[in-house]
Amino acid sequence: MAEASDGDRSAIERIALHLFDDLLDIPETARTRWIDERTADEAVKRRLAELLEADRVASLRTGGAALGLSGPAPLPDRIGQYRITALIGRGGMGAVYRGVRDTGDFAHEAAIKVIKPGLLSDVLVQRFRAERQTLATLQHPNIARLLDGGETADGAPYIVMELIEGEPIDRWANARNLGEDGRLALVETAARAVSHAHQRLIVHRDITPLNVLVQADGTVKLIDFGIARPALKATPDDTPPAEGSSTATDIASLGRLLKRMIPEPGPELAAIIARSAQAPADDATGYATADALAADIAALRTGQPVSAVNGGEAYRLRKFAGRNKAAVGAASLAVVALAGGLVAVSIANANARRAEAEAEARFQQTRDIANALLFQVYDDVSKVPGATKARETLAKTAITYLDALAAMKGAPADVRAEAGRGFVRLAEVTGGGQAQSLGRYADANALLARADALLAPAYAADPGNQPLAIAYATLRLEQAGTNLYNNNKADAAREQAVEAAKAVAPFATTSAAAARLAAVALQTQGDSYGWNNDFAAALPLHQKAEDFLAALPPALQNDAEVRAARSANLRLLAEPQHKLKMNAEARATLDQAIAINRGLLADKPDDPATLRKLAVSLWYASVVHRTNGRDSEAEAAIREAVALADRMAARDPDDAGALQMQAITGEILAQVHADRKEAAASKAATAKVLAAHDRLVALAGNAPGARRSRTAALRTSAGNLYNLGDIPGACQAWRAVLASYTSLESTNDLSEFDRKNGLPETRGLLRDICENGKPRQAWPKAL
Amino acid sequence: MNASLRIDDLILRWRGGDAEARDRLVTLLHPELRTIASAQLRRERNVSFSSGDLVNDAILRLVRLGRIDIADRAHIIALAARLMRNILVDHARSKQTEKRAHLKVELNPDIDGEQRVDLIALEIALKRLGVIDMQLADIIEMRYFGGMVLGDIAEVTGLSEATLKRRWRTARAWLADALENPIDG
Repeated sequence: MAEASDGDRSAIERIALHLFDDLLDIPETARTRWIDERTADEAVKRRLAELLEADRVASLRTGGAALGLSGPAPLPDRIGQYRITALIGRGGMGAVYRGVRDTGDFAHEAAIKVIKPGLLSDVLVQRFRAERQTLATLQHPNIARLLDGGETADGAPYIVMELIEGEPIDRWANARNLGEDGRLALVETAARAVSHAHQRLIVHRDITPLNVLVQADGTVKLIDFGIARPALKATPDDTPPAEGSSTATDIASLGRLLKRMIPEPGPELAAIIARSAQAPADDATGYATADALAADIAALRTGQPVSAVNGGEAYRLRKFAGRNKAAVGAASLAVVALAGGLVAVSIANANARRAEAEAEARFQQTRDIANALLFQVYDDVSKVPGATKARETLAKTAITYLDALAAMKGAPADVRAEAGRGFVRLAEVTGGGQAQSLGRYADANALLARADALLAPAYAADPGNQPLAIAYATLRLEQAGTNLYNNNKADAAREQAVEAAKAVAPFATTSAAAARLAAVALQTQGDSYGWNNDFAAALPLHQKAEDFLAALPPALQNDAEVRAARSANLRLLAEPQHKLKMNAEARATLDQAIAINRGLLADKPDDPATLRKLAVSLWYASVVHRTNGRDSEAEAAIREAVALADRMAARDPDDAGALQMQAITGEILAQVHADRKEAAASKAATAKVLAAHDRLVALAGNAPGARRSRTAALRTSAGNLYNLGDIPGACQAWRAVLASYTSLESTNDLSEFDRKNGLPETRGLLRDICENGKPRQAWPKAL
Repeated sequence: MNASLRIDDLILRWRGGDAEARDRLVTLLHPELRTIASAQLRRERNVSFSSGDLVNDAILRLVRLGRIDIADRAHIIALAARLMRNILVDHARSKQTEKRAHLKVELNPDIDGEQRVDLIALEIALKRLGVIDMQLADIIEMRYFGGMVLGDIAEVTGLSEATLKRRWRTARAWLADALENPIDG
């Protein structure tokens, strides 16, 4: 027997793992059947059995109680506003009840579907909540109304639907020995209803006979719109749907429904079924809309020519936007789900015009929303402290849009460039490859690779296009950053920076954005050396960047972005100057950086980012001054940095960033005072540092990290006191340090590093100095 | 002076929302993590040790250096778990070339008792799983290797605890099976 290939094995494994997620929630006795309903693949079944066995063994080890397998639950009394009168059915997902709502003199019955807690994927619960309003407005004679929804006390999501007394479409037809035309009519009706929903940007996601009911009078009713779970199914009939859902998924499901209703189709119907399966908009052969499918069914019934048979040509002539309607629609849906009310309203209000015009409008909207989400909204949200979750949501939503934009075959170059720019931006905001904040979405390398695939050919084809060149240079610089700081590939980073510089060179003296990138490209080349401590090689490149910026026309030089880039490069220029003992130069460079930051702050007083930038440059200048024995300059710079930190803290006393800044700048100030033997001032500065740490410890809920920071500051203060000759004060501080270490140790929060360094050092100093362990002449001269 | 100065500077920038600074921080911290790991490994020789403790130690060190905001804690642990895993595997591989000594780590004892797992076997299994389902591999890394609690993993992955619990049970079963029936390769 031939071995399964790696690819096959992975595919089997993937299917098995997805099924397994749900399988554990199925009662043990029902598992075999549950598996049989979902897959016929023996290899998948075998894997599921092996995994179940592994789970059983692992559970035995820890006690299975925690895994609590679900059993049949008793009938609830009430759900929401409804009194439960009967059980309609129970399945893998949960149970459906019949309920009555008595309000005064009028009572109505409804079907209430309770989904097992934890079963509905989280994304779907969110989506369901966000879409409930939209779903409630979905009014069509062939769609069951959604009346209400919520969560039970146990956290199980439920929905209240119009009560449909019907049978699944296939059973209804078979029970009545319905002929082919009757069956086609039922599916045509269903397709028209689906199309109605699609025009309102709602997809069903799980059209199966169980969700297409027929009432006794022959009326078709679709149930569970917009709430079905996109489970990965492995039955031969059902191709697994791609990540997410789209109108194309529904069209393909309608095709399968047709096949189910008429198992032995004639050639024309077979063509219709085949074409509906092609629906994903990657080719010109699928149905663009559910209406088009309905129209073909109608044509077949009335003997008209069917487009699926000979219409491929016509279809290919459709406009670009029309072809991409499904992709665009899917992206729009994601916003309804994730971005919430405002966007949902704007989309819901979009006029239902002719299909292609509408698709074009949606396309434009997709672009606008992707841009707004990635740039304006993201930046706004980033200014709000603690908005990490919101940022993640935005980034994930934006991916959906970018995927849609990138998937558009034959899209104009600028659209593809725009998608590429979006991916670069996304890589920027999600951080490097190691930042896990967005899970697998956050793989910056993958995002950059996607951007590369879009931007590199676009740029190569049209290097004179300024926006393209700028997007391309931004990509290369982002890649250079990743290579340098994440992958430690300085040479690759340098090459990419050189490419970026080349791309923007033609525009660098006329466009502020290009000028900024040109400077950053030089700066990156410099830092590719500086990062590895090759200061001699770094210096000329940072200098070159500075010379380039200094020679720009005044209009460009005064651009805020260019100025910000200049001060950043100056700080990096000062570092090799400082290291290479070019003291005067380093000092002048830092003064210049500080001056620029002052200017930026004057333009935007109280801008938090600029305040921080200035404080950091002053802080660094102070450190450099202090190292060079320029005590008064060190003091002036650090005093101003402290004042800025105080200003930030005054604006928001709970802003940990400001407190952090107070602590770090204050620590240098206390040292500077100690250097100058200004005991009272040093102690006052230390008191403020410790007060900031106390606030940070409180804000962090007494977390070990914050306590450890405070201990480190305390240790510095003990050293200052010792250097000032205040031996009793130093001893008192060391005792406090030791007490902190002991307290951390008692909760196992003392780090290995401190156990080996700070702790023995503090003990030794206490013993030698405070407990007369050594004669005074053997004490260290300074700490 | 320079190293600590640079770290403080980077922390300030990171706190100011500069993601690049965080990445630089990682690069800077990597050698320190390696030092911590080496110290521990020297002490433990080829006896098994707890990866969770190791990561915990590393975190304490990071936290001390970084004065990390509590909101970032979960991400930092995940980051450290990943770095630590890489370091340990490198270490184990270099050891393995010397002699057939296998390094064993104790996976999160709160979950599966004091089960000890061969590092290389774990690495091979995680690599395999990563190809099939990256998220499951990440969950294992954080939960078993990093000793992270579900709440913290939820924060990092963005999954709800309910979803995470289901995914984690799948991951656990897969890993148990993979370690029991390794595929050589």
